[in-house]
Amino acid sequence: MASALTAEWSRLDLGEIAAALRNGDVSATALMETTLERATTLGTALNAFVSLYGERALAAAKTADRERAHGALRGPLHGVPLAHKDMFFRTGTPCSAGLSEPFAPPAETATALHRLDSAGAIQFGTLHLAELAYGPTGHNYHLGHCRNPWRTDHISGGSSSGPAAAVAARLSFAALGSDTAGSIRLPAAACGVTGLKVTQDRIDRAGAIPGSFSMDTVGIIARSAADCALLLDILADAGEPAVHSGTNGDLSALRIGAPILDTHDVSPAIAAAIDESLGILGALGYKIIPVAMPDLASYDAAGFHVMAAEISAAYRTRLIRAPETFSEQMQARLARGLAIPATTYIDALRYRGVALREFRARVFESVDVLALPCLTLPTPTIAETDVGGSPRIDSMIAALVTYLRPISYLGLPSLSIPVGFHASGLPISIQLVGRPFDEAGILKAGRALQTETDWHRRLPPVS
Amino acid sequence: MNDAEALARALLRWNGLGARADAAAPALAAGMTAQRAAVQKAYDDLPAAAEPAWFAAELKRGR
Repeated sequence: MASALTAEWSRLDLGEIAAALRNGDVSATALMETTLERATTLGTALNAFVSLYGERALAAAKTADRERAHGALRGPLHGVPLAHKDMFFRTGTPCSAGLSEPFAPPAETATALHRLDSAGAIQFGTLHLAELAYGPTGHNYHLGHCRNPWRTDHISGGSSSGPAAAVAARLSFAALGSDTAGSIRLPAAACGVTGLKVTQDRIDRAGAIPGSFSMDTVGIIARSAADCALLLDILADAGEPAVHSGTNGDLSALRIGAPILDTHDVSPAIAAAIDESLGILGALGYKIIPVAMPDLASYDAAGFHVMAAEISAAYRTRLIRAPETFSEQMQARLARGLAIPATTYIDALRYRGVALREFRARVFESVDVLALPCLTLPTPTIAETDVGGSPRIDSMIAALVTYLRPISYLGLPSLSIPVGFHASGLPISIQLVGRPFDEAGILKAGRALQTETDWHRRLPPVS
Repeated sequence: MNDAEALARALLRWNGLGARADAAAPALAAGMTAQRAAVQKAYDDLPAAAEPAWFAAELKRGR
């Protein structure tokens, strides 16, 4: 297939390409041809895709062009090609969920996909993920490991590995992912893109493969906070207040929490990037207020027990009857969940409400948005984190999700945005954490930061 | 075999892992003891008001 367009079209952000398609500056068919070609070449180099819907997506693009010619636009994303983490059901289409044997083609399409379809988007493929969306590195022993487009020997992060790698490499304008304990924010941070973990249930989960029903969230990986806001308005339930238009206004009323961190726990480059970001926000008029951290370690331990017990209960039957469909690592992790006593699980759940009240009192009494690290250390290599089914799994994972899993346990919204680079060339990101259902607040702060910086516009070597 | 290993093995066997439970239990117990203790401590440190409503109701009924 000959490429119909230059790569410049693929580098536009979601809002820009949607406007170009609406205005007829580019045809949906030409854009889809280019998108599929890039997914085949660059996507293969990164192992970012699980499947491509070539003919089906091209046919849909041609239909979109005909409709536009007749003045009929389906919605704000008319003709925009998107690919999503391979864990959302679409009628009649197998879903791998990152396993060796896919789920049978489902009868229903996931709510999130249905809403994007209704807005006019065209799904052109599915993206890499950890088995059952349960793993923070981007390793997958069935599909092969996903690669980081900034340095391909380093992890992409997971479990939304494909969405982060594909959006960073400009292979998809945005992507749906999921976040149970950091699975959007961590890969977004590792790949230098913007990731939105919403308040739990802000986006309907129907038709997304279940993991931990107390902590799972459907979310967004995109190239900017503005694009996340645009998609959230499409994905949220009807009747909810619009977010996108409200994230571009006056900043001075917002107070940002500057975390008082144990400097031994966070690499100097990451701590410096947080300070620099807060300095930029302060110069824009935000009030920056130091905040002492509550005991995140106890939230993290409780979050581990809730998540591990629930996902193991969900997949226990498959683990017993068909263990070979899971990797050795996944078998070991599911076994951990089965070994959690019911009393520990119930304690961890009952602690959740108290912990949230404590966090709100300690943090959100004095600030509106809290800045925290995503990763505490430079992004590791694929080899360094390839622990298989060994007992090192827990410590390796815990080191990656130190500041992520506690926020998931609390159910809070959080936005991961790139704020710099390590000397190695790998991105540095922070997360902006908000009150329950205040996605608008964190998106507003993120959008302000991205108007003053261009970290999110930098292109990785594979793009 | 210590208590944590015995509990891990029993839970895995109860969950249907059969002989695989014996092999997995020692590593699971070693890895999980500290995290279980963290949850237990967090819960033990809660104020009495955190007890669920049904618990207070049962106390009132004298059970």
